[in-house]
Amino acid sequence: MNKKKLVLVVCGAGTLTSVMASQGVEEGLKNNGVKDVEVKVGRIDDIERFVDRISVLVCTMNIRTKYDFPVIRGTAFVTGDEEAQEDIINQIVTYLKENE
Amino acid sequence: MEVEKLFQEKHIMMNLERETREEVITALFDKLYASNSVKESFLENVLKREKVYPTGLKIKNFEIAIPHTEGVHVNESTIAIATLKTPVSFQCMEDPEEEVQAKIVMMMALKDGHNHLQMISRIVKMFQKQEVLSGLEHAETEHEIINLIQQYL
Repeated sequence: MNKKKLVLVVCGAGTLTSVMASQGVEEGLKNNGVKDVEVKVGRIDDIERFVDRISVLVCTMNIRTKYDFPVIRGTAFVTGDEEAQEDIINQIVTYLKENE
Repeated sequence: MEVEKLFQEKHIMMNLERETREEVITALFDKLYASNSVKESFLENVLKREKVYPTGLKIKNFEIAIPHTEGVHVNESTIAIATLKTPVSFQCMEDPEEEVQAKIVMMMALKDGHNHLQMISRIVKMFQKQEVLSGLEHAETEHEIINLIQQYL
């Protein structure tokens, strides 16, 4: 049984920037017809907790650790840079499709 | 999270003169602490967060900062705003090696962001607008700022 894919969106406090980014990512995925993906908001400590389930990690801060899944900067959802936002969504959609 | 409590004149400071980001953060905290909107622990945690996860942002023509920390240090959700007489440097969220010269600093004291996604989204999107940031920078009274926000929120 396939578990839903997980896109984890994190920031330092888990309260503000990750909320913005997760909203943007959810909307973007929906607009691209991507289903069966869970978008979750968290803090940097949650990465370890979900490390086995994460397909894509979106973060609004600098993360130096290398993981098996792509780590994408989501600050464009905080600054309102629409072009960069589209770019982020495309990266996520492409990766999810290629790794179905 | 009540909208009227989110933006209050007593949490706004205009032409604030401070030299360092720590001083700006402290000045904003003082306002929020005076109104009992945040706990004493809020200051130390915002300063700590800012060092590790900086909040400086470039929003097209404007450079701002949005210091904040976890909701557990907040009593009642509200946002303190300071326009600075002289820009103060904050490290950039996108690239901590870079600095922004913030002229507007907004201290977001949010109790539980997870349960108010729509509201937070509206607030941040409002502050992404050049007209709003320009209005904040050029406002002459706290009342003007409140009106501006009410207009755009």
